[in-house]
Amino acid sequence: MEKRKVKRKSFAAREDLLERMNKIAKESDFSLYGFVNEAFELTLKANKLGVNLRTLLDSRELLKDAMENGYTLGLESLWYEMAELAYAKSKKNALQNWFDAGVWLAKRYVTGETNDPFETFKNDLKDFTWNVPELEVNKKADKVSVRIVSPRFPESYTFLFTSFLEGALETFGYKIGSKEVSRGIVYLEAVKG
Amino acid sequence: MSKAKDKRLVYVPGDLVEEVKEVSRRRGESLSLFVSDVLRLALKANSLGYSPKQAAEFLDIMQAQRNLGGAFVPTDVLTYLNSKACGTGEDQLQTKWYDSGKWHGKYINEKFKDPIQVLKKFLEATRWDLSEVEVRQNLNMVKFRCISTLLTGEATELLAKFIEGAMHSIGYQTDKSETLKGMILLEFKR
Repeated sequence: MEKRKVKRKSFAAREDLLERMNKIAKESDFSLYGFVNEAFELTLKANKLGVNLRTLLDSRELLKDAMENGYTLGLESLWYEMAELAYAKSKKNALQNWFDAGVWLAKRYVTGETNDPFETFKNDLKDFTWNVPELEVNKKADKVSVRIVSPRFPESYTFLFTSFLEGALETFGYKIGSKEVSRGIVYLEAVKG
Repeated sequence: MSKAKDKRLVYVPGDLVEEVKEVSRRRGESLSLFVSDVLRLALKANSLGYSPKQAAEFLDIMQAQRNLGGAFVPTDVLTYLNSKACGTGEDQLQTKWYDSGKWHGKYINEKFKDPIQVLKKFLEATRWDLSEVEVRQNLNMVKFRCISTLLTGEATELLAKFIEGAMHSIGYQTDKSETLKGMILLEFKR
């Protein structure tokens, strides 16, 4: 029978990182070897799933940000169906509600401590609409344009989401200049003033 | 002054070595850079409150969520959609949440070895309006207890329907169901 020759192999790694890992391993009652193993197993698992660890950590931070910024994560199909029902029952109320939600969220950025509230809002919006294949927000001087293409959006959700964006843009001090909305497609242009 | 770039040897199990080399090669990174990156990210995961093992579990949940079509919705909007104010019938909403739970349960039942624990972790990871999610399994019985100080009465009932739908797809039947504003107590048997 063939004897297994190698059970462990060594790699060169940065000493400062290993020292930090060693400290954590000790605090968690782990050996450094055990901790390093888990880290590698996690990396390989992530790789098999087609993502890297950075994506995982980004997801964790995204969830944290979503929680802090007033979003809830759930199944897209459920949100669409619920929106569809509400829109069919009372279009006006539903649109107003989404508009108000946009106002509320934007107000958080406007009154917060970020240097550029609109830029932060724009980046967060992109992160929190991971289900939207195309979302572009461009700001040039006094103008802002928003372009969304999302074939999965039903008509009701498209109009509701537009209302949400209008609420947010108005809170940032923009007035909607032109608006083109049809199922799954939104184009908005707004001017400061 | 610390010499940040000094190197030390780190030991890795032999059976992982080839895979590690393969992944680093595919990424076009040197092995040394790749190893340092793995360690740095493991440290970052730790700073976010995850051991590598917990991070791996979280990874599964997030991937499942993306595959299932997870999407963010403003919480205020969800509160409105869940409420009677939006004019949707209570039964209609409950059916939607139940069906969505069934779909979710079917997916995790086929994908994971322990779907009940995955469902619990999914609720913990994504429903940050829940302050407590407790699942007790005993032979053929499973008890769910979810607590929230934020959920409205309507939202509590709808979430309970979602859990019921998921558990029914996993192969359990509802034995007892009790919901109070912010509290879900469910018992299932196989």
